[in-house]
Amino acid sequence: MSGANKNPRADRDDRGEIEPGPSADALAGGAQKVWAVLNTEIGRTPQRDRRGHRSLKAMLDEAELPGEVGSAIRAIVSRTRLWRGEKMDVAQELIAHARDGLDAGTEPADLAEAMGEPKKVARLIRRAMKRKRHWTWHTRAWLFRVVAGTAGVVVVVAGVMTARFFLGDPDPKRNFIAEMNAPFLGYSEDERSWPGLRDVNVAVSAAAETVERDMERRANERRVSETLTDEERSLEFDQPGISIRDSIDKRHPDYETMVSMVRDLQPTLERSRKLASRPIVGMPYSTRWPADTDWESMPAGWIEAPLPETDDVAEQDMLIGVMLPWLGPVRNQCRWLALDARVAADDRDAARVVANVAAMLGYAEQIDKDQILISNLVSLACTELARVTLGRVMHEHPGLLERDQLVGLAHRFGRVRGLFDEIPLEWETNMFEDVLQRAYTDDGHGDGHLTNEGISILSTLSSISFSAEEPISSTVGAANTLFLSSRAEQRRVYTHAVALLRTDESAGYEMFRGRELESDTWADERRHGDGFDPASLLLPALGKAVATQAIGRTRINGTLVAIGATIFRMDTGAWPASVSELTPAYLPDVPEDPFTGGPMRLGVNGDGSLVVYCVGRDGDDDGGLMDPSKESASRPKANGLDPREARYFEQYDAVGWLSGPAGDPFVEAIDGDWVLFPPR
Amino acid sequence: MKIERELMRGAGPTAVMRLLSRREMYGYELVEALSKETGGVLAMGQSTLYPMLYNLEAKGLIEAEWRSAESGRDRKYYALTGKGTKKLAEDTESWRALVGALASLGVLGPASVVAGNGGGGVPA
Repeated sequence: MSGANKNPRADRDDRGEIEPGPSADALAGGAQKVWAVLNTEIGRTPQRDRRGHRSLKAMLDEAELPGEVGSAIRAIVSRTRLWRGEKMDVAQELIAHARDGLDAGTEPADLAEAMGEPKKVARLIRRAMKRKRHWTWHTRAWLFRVVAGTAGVVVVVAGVMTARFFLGDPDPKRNFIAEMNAPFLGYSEDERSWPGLRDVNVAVSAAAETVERDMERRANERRVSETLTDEERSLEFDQPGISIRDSIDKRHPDYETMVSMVRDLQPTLERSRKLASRPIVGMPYSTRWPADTDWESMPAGWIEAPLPETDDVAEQDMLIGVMLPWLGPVRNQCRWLALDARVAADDRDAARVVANVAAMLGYAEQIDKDQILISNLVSLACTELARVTLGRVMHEHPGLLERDQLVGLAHRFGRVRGLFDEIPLEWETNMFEDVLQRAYTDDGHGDGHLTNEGISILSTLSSISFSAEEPISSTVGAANTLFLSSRAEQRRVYTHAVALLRTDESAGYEMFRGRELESDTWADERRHGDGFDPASLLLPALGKAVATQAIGRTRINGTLVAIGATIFRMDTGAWPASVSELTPAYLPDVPEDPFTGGPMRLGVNGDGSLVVYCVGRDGDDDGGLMDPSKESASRPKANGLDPREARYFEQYDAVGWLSGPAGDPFVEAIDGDWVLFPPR
Repeated sequence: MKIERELMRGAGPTAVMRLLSRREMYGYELVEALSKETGGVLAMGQSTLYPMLYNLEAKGLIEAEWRSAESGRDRKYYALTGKGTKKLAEDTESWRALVGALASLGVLGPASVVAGNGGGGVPA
């Protein structure tokens, strides 16, 4: 047997005759060709399909079968729900079977009965006939099932999840703002630097505003008259005015103006030093501020007092909305105190130098009581100002500070160093929990699901955005967080991140010796993967904070070594040969060089001054010097100055250099030591 | 004798392929042949036969062709394919093994003996 499974009736019309085509006369040119195509098997199939139903009836009529037999066949065929052509094929075969049976003498009733129960038989025939269909049809059918099934699952899951948004509400209970304010309630007015901090901030801002205008005018006049030398132009460019007052170079044209201003501000700075000695800032945490403050009429440096926070947690803004308006003014005060310390050193006023340095450290301790990461970092910045200021004075005015004063400052630095042993996360954790309690439902056991309100809250923390670079992960990540992650899961992620941070901290200085910061790796992955979640939004770049603290501790250690060595020289008449010579009389223990794990180093410059250093990123001991020839052109501050000053530029972008990625040309280009003393 | 549906499902296709291995046949012929040659044991109506034929065709074991008989009537003739021939040989082997196994258990012994034991005993 060969050839197609071709139904002989397929080419016949209802009368069983071959359809004649239009006569050649009736057709002309192209129309004839079209008809030729339509008259092929393919071309004629649709016509048969369109006429399929009518053909079945005609076919049964033509067969002249007894009524019950014809009805049985019609009942079966019409129930098969097959394609028209398939139905015709089945009908044709059943008709032929019935005709054979009748010819053999079988009773019509028996034949009809043998056809079976129409619905059941039709189902069996349908299944079998569908199996005969072409594999492309089966492929399409499977694809359709898969797509439809997947779409159905997605629709159902999305529906359920969407419904969940509207089936529960957040129920915030913990008053975190009250909890954060509680430790400070017992302090008296005399123990708070607020609101005196506002007064001194307004005073220095007013003076600065006046002088800065004059300085800017004079600078413009100088530029117009083009009387500047290259060195002056460099100084003008690098130190354009009041914003760098704490480190203004003595050769700057306006240096004397600033010195004069500092002398005029002595009563204010004296008050600031006293305020810095108080234990806390004491401005209450609040999310509520006067809405009608006329800032235009307020003096520069004004700090607005917050309104008392409501006790109704649901009415409060999120804890993340609490302002910390004292951080900027505190740092501002430290800059003025730093400049005044330099002026005091020039005046040979050692007591005022010490008072200013101690005041900077006092402010650092005050704001660190916030137990907030950002406050801790500002605290470190204040400590840095104190360290640099003291180091400069010690280097430029040797013998100015007395032994007792140095010992006292060493103890202060040693105490403040402890602020940077560990990242404070009390506030961050509270902020995280506050977001959870306002965004998620609460099942009473620490779990819940994201709510409609929660979507709004998370949107304010970070825009839900589609990343063209990582379209799939950004979309799936956001969807995963939004729809699937529960309150308990979010807390688990946060706890995990904090654990990584603590692991990084406990690894000490290994980050300087090639160890990857796990918390940074985690944050990168979260941002590029599951990104949109409270944990990664509220704990960004923790690794950088760990590195910043480690650098800060090392710098403080360098200062302690310098102080110890200076006192050693007072006692013995010579610099120590090594840092270890200072212990235990002048230093409790030898500080670590983060890059080697060995001891920090010291040496003596050609002019007989002290240098304290670590070997730096390149890992080799350059004797406490930076190599100016390898200095990056992006560091204009050292250009045009004494090449020996190049060693001071370790301040510049130190975090990037010290803990920057391997292979970074900016990082790798630097050859030299990490000079801690004297500071720039 | 009426064969149970499950038994028929297993035996029916083999029986049909066996008939088609002799020659091409159309549907009615197959019904008649199954009834006569098996003493009615494997008799099946068109409600069973045609779905079975379509399944065998879908599996490529048989193939069909419409053809006009000498009487002028159009009939669909079925024939065994090469694949069907191979399958029939395998099924035949399986059935032989099955029958042999049943025989070894006495299931295929003389009907009277089985009946004599109440239909559940083993002859002594």
